[in-house]
Amino acid sequence: MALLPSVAAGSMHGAVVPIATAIGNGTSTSAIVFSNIPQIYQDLYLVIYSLQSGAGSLIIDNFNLDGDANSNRSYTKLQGDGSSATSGRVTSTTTISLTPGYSTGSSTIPTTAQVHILNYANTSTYKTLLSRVAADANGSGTTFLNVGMWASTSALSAFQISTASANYFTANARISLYGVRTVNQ
Amino acid sequence: MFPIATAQGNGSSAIFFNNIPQNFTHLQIRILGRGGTSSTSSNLYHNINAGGSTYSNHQLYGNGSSAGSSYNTALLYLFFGTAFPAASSTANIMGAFIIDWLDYTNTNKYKTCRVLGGNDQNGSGLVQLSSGLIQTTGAITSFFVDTEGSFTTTTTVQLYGIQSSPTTGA
Repeated sequence: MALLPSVAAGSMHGAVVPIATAIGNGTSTSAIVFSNIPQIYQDLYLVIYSLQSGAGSLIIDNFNLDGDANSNRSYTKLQGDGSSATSGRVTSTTTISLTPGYSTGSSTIPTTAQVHILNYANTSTYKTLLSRVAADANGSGTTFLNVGMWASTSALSAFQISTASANYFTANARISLYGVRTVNQ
Repeated sequence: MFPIATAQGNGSSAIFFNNIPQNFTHLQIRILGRGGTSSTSSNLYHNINAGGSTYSNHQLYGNGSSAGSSYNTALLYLFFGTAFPAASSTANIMGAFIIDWLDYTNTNKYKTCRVLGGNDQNGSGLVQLSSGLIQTTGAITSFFVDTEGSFTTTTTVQLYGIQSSPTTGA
């Protein structure tokens, strides 16, 4: 896994500032950790191009590196699988799934995701994330929307993106984290 | 994408953005909000240019048990239901909305937006992908967002402008 250094906001133009990019190592990386996240932006924006060694979920967890010891996550999902649309919810859990899992996850067919974590550095509110995921496999696949909640008022300073079922990210998997500035940031 | 303005809820009135610069191609509104009404949810109301033009929208939503779709027509504002937690919700839970208005300065066509939003309250909530239409050709120069009981002081609204490429025009 290669982690590129963060970029100072002051040297960038525009609202979307690259913070770090991680690339799978193709052999063993099943979790990519983003830590020491700068606390100077309004929102976080995560762009995921995932290729993994086998079918399984793509999840976001380990908020502030708590080891998933807290069941204070929940999410509400909406998905279309090519034949029907369904919705579900998971409550009081340790991880937030970004995909349905059973139908996605491949070393050749990418799963792409965009995740927005709003006001992540705020210490007065719980954290809400919105994600939009697509995975089309020429006859199967899914499009997936998700709203997730981390019931913590702590500023978000770290999290990880993980594969499930003991998969690992291939060398072509790429996950980029951006900060979204607002005015005066 | 460039930051234009930011605002917070004050618990008593709608949030207005006026004198929107006309030098971008698209607008993006990012809301992290909570309503003040005595309920576990509140709706998002969104009006452009303080106008009474014909508004309509479609929603594709999931409420945790089923997926559904709905629409509204001939409104005086865009309406997105079950958008935010409210005063009877567990404290500190917020809802998130991202609204993209495309080609907002063009005066030759109606204005349309796409919306991704939702709130999860650990047992209730809703996620939605929606569209909105205003049948006016006027450029968008101002708007407001509001909810029942007004937005709490923990609510933040960010406005961004998205440029075309000065090199390619893309």
